[in-house]
Amino acid sequence: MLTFALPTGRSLDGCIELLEGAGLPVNNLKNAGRNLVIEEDGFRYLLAKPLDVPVMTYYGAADLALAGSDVICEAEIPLVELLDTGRSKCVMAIAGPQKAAQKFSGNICKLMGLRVATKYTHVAEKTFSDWGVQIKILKLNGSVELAPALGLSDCIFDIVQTGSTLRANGLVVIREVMPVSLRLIAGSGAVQTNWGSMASTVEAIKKFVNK
Amino acid sequence: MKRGIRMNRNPKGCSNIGGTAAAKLEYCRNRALELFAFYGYRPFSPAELQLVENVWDKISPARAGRLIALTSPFGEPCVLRGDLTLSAVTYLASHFQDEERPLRLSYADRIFSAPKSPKHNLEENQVGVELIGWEGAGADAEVISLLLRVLDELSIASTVVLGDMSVISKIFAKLPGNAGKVLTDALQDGSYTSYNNILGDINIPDNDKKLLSALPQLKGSVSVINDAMKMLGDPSILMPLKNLCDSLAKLGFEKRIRIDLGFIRDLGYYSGPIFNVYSEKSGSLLGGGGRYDGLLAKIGMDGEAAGFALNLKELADCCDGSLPSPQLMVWCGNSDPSDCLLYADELHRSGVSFELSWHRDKDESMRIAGLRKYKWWIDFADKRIFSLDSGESRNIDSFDMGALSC
Repeated sequence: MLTFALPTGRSLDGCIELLEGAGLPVNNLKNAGRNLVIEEDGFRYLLAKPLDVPVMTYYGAADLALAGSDVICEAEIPLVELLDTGRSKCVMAIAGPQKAAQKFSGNICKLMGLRVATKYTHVAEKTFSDWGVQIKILKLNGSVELAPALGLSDCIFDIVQTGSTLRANGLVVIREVMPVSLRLIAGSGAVQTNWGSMASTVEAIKKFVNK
Repeated sequence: MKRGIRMNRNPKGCSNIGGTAAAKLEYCRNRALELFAFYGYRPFSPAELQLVENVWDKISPARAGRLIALTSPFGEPCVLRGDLTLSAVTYLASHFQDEERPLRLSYADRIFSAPKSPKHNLEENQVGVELIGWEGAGADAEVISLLLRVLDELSIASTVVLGDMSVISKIFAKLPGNAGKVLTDALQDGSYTSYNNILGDINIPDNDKKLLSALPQLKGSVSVINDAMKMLGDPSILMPLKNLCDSLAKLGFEKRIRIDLGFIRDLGYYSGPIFNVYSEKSGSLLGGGGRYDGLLAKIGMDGEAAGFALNLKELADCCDGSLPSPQLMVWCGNSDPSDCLLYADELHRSGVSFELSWHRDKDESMRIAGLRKYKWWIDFADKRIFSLDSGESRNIDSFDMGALSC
């Protein structure tokens, strides 16, 4: 039986659509209700919080998984990224009020000590650090867009899909940092020892996304 | 926690190992070193600190960045030993003449490095061997078969995954510019997405691109080598790996071998066959190793070298064996200590493991023996032995101690 970890929340529908397109059984998955473990026709699906998917995969609880590249980068866990599905596309970006945007247009020194609200603390720290900028991070677990308006931060570091939440909170995208999409991942141990049983599934998903 | 006793907290990332876990760990360590000794590997105990200058340029930047640096009390820049292979090689280079090679070393020691998420441990207990400076082709097979034999000794069902750094180097050598380097980095990072993106941008003939595109997927049973040979312009580059697999198959290990031709180990000094070994039961990584001729070259030595290291804690988790625990408690509370210790010597000579109890209170001694799950308790003063399961007792002299010998 092949075990697949899937993220709950807004990516789940996209994941189901992808698996269905690749010919995997998803009838029970579509009607999961409150079940977190769903089994059908030789597949087991684990539904987990997006940030937990990489850990579960790393420790071998799942053979394969779908996870956003934002979450994979943030987890900093060594995994095998088998495929970019190109689904659930968005961008990781720095956003803030116009005042903050002006700081970014000048010398990089102006950014020193910038207060950045984010739930992606590792990626944010690494991004600014690669530019040689030290920042103050405010870790928030949600509604990050509120932070500048409340005076808690100068800008935010978050994923942006349509930008409507940003606009509604008076924020603009200042700089796009990296593209984000849904990736097919696996633990390195599973890939090395169990490739025979997962290869056909990986191939089926690859074929579907390349259609 | 007892009231009034101040608990000692370990530094984050460090842990004490006691109880059953320690007994299992010691069991695995002893069995492994014993087996290595039979195969002519001599124990080696390296220094806990390594000079930065001896380490820094010998391992990959990613690995070097995880070393734990400190300054010794003599003002020398050092790192806590992050790698035992490196210690073994530098030991060989500075302590042995060329004619004394090959050198077979075994070790069981700790290594230290900053953990990679999601792990938190700063230290890892390893047991392993290094075979340095041989002349001939059998050493890779010797090292891998020894790895599998030690796991058999510990009754740990395992699978070994083989790759070959020289195959990757030779395939990538034909690529323009630094394409080989960036593709190697992508494979090492496990990012097949980046690998394929980079590959898409390289201007090479379609046949070569097809082979390179398939490389990360060339995994599975030994037959993968034949598949790869058909795709390669020069199949002879896979012959050493094929011969190694044939040797291991003749030793009865065929079903335990998997091939991964896109496999790269992250230490940065491997240059030939490399391998990881996994527990079949839990799927956890038990250890790995490979050929590292390049490391010898870096310290100015010619020749070949191979070795492996196993994570002792992982072995202990997967192993059902343990050091024998004492079978009985001898209560000496009312006796002359020297008489008791002479009796203890007698038990030792009979091969019976025991614990002495100097408690003044007989009942309390017996209660503690029960708590420690001993089956037998001896009242040395009365010369009687009690079964803690049934409560029956008899004279020591009428009891067959031979039945308890280890």
